[in-house]
Amino acid sequence: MIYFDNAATTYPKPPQVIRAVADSIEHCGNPGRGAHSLAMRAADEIYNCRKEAAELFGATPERVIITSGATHSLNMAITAHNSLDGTILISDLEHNSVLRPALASGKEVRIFNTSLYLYGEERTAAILASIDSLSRGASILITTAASNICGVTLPIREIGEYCREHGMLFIVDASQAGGLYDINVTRDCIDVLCLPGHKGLYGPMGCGLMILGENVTLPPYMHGGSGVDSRSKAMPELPPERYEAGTLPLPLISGLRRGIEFVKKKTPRTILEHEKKLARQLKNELEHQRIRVFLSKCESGIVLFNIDGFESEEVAEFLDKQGICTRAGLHCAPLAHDTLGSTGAVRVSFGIYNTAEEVREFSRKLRLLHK
Amino acid sequence: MTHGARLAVSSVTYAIQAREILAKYGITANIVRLHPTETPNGCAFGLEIPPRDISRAAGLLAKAEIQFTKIQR
Repeated sequence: MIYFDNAATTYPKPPQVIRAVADSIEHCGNPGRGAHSLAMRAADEIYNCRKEAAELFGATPERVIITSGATHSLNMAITAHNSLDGTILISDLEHNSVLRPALASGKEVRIFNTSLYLYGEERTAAILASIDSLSRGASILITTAASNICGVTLPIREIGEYCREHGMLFIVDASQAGGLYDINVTRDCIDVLCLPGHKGLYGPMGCGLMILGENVTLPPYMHGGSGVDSRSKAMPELPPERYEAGTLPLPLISGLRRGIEFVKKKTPRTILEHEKKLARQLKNELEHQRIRVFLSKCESGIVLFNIDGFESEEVAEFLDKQGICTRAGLHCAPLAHDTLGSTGAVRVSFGIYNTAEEVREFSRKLRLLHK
Repeated sequence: MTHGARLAVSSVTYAIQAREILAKYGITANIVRLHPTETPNGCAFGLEIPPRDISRAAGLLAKAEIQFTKIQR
């Protein structure tokens, strides 16, 4: 089996991630409730996960909030500001996990242009100009750091600086960027960074992070037991417990901790370069077969393509029968597909465990479909 | 029967953070659950610290901007 769907979730997971999930079920109690040995073992696991994430993203451990995933984090961040006046700005590449809560807020949502066909400083300048043309009356800007369908990256630091200068709250969806690109909450002026544990951080599905910038306080999203201040009718004043009602998914967080350690040991840069190299190889092989690949430059390990005469789902189904996992359709990002001029496509997304030989095998198998 | 002095902190997260900070300066802190009557809203985590180190510990935690209150026993 060849797994080319790492943008959906990375697979396989490092063995230490899998072991940690099982170990914590076997040896830990509920964190943050008692102070007995099993409870403290659990609490230490959670804290160490926060520490690892804080180091990776330039934050402090207590501002790393555990959630059930990027969608949960984004909903917390976006709905926390429903009481703010002003419009919301989003990019034209956003996933439904940003688009839907933004629209559900009832506020006006304006979409800025990411200028996909420009690169480097030209793209940065064009993006900032587009934001500037739409920012009058805007109080929040939400953007992906890297697209989930074409791997296009946005200039997060420059956008963050713009938002800070213009008093806009800056929320970043790092679902496809976390663990690959250098993102620093403090340096990049990010107010809220949202990401899942199970993609670039190689953790298990079901957990994610919401990382708060300095001096950012949100109203709690969920209310319930926090393990402290039980007589208070309100959630605690301070993070992280302010945002974490109920029992945390300790086994998943244990796994996530080992995933982050794995990524830091390999280094994000090494993982990204590996994925980009495979993407370039695949792109060359597809173009050799005269298959249309969206966007010419490989900024990440994602390649999007279509084969004339075939629906994308047909291609994915064929590949599945050949033992190759890809994803077809709109990838929960119809806005991004509209921006690319696509009505659905086949996405190949690499991870650290994919190889050049797998790319060659993919190319051989694909040839059987259309030649 | 415990013999240390106690500081109440906001949560187990801050208790662990405080324990790490104090350990760097050679102060051993034990994380405990405080009695419900020891803090205004009940159910809190505390640090049990040798009485000779309590003043220094308080100074270090204040410098690290970790909120705490001294528990009077």
